[in-house]
Amino acid sequence: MGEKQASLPTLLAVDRLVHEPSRLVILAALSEVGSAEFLFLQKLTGLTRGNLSAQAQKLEAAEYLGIEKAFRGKVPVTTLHITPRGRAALQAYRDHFQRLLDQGVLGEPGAKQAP
Amino acid sequence: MDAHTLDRISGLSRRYARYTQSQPGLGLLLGGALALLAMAILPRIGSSDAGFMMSPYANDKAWSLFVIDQSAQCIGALRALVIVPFPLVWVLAKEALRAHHVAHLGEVTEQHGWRWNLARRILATLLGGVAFLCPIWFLLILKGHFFLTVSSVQVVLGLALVGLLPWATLRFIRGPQEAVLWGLGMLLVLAEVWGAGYVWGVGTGLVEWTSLSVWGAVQNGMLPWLSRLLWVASLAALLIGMIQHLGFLRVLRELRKQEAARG
Repeated sequence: MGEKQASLPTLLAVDRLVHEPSRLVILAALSEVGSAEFLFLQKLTGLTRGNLSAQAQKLEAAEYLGIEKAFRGKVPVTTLHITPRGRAALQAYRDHFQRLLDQGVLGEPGAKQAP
Repeated sequence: MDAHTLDRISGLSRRYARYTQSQPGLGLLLGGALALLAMAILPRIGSSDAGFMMSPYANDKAWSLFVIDQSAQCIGALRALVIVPFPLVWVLAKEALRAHHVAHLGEVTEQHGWRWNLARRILATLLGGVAFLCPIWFLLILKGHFFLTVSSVQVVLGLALVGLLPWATLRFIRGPQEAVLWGLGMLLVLAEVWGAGYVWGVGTGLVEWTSLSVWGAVQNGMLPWLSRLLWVASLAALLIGMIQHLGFLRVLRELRKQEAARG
């Protein structure tokens, strides 16, 4: 119990920018590729255009993502890529939750059901 | 959201990137089929049915004697029509297929490992070297340093082909399997088009005339080997392309499921 209480500040210290599910999915989708077009992320995440755009902009503001806009012929194309900082933040977030799981704060110790 | 879901999402985008870039599935299948078709037709065509794009030295008397003597291959119009378009048609068709998928689902690029990046640099350096040496060879011939006569149309066509190689390779060849098929195909094309005059030494024109017999012998020795290698590579491309395409179809199904679940 004492260990769980001690873990609460750790739980609250989670990177909330990464913690939000839509942003977490965006970061996860970009974590193992060089770059991805907006259209693909839309299909993969099922987010609306506006929501995806807003979440991506938040991640870009935190320098977790890079966003490039270009034209393919006459069609505007937006490409996103994860930055080293974003990759580190995602990894830190996953490590953080694994520690919390190991400590039993989020469930049975040793479970692997959290990011 | 659990770790498994995140891994699945990152895995899905990684596999999609792979199947639209370095493991093109249908594109590779098409390349293997086109190469097999070309290789099946080639033996039915004579090696010198017309004067089109013959070896650079074909008009030279000494070369003609050499050709008769060594039975060196000179490419004819029909042969050229079969062999030259196959890598070009393949590259254009596979890029059209890729553009179709990318237009519907968006483009995702791969994170390339150091091995592939190194291989690309080596390939670019080699092809760049060839492209750099080629004009020198061309200029030397134009200046009349050699007693060989070269048809200007043929030289221009050949130079265009070689000059486009580094660009086309870096622009369109996205994976190791493609690189093997493309490399072998282009080597065969160059061997057929230039004969002993180019591919077995940028510098046939830079070596002594007597050395030509060596190059001719090399060409005659290498062409069958190149053909055999291309047969093997084409069959492998058919098999690997099929496996990759099935993998790509699985990715598409998962993407649709993902989209439906969220939407």
